[in-house]
Amino acid sequence: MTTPVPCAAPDCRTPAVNGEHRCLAHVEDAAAYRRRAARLLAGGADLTHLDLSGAHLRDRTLRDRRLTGTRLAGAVLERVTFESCHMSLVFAHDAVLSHCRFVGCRLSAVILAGSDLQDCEFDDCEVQRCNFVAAAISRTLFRSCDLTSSRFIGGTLRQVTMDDCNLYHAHLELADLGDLATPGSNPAEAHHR
Amino acid sequence: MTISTQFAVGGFCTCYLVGPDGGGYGVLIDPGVFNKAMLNHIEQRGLTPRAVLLTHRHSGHCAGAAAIRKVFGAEIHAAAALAEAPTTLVTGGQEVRVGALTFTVLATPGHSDDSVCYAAPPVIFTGDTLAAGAVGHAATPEARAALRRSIRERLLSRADHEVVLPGHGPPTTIGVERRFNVHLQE
Repeated sequence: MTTPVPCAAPDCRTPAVNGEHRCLAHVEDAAAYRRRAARLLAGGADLTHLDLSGAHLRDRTLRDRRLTGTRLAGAVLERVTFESCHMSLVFAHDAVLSHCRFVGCRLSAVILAGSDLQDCEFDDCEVQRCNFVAAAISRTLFRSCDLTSSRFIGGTLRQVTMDDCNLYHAHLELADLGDLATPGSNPAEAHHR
Repeated sequence: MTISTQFAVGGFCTCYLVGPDGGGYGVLIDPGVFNKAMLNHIEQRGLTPRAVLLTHRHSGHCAGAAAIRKVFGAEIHAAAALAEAPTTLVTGGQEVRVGALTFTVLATPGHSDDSVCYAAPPVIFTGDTLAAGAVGHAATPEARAALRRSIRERLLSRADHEVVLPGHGPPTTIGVERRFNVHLQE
């Protein structure tokens, strides 16, 4: 992962956003930045350090895209499909994901703490070291995923299936696991409390 | 600044390799192991480790330090001396400079007496003091109180956007931990 440079505004240490020397709060024209971000998202561009916090994305497919340091905090994603995407240190806390699909993606160090995932599907993905702390996950399927060292601490999992998944060092602690199903997976190698 | 990770089998501790964009002198934080995979990891990133920063002396976090010193001549920094290698002692508030990188030492006793964190904004390496949804194990009520005080005064006082890179598990942010870590709720 590459860490962003701090915002150049006086006394501000917030990370600067993609293509700018300033954070979203200090760019000269935030509306113009958002338009540019939308163009980058619609095209095939690298989305590294793009700030899409609070954005509302729906009915789109992102294929073979790289999201590193991308900010999706509080974003709403409806029927968004990610295919063969590489997501690393993505800040998606407090996001709402509804009917989203991740197929053949590599998610590493993605922060989804406090997020709400409904009717989502992760198929044949690496989901390693991802942060689902206090996330509310419902009607969601993880199929043939590597969930090594991911954390589901303090959240709720309702009608969630982890089918043929690697749960080595995953944390399923202090969580309401509801009717979590783990066929073909190795829950004994996860941490429970 | 680029940061990559490597894992020690024992306890699945995370070792961070930190360096400037484009290669050069690097820093290893909590090398719990030094083996061929680690060597390849370092070489592939074009970095030469000049320093090892230890958050505490539990073996999963420091067992590779002495070997890295021998191979690369890296200086080992920790709040308490290692038995097996010369150690430069650090204290809270001190800065450790390695090439273009600067780390500020945060004294955070509690998980162990010698626990420290290293801040290099916008990231903080927290060892076993603070992790996503969790805090470090503390052996006694006094240690637990010290740990909570360390986290409150040295970590939660920092900006929401700062990224916490812990010794175990996924990254998080100060703001996320302040809101969602059940162990930090009063």
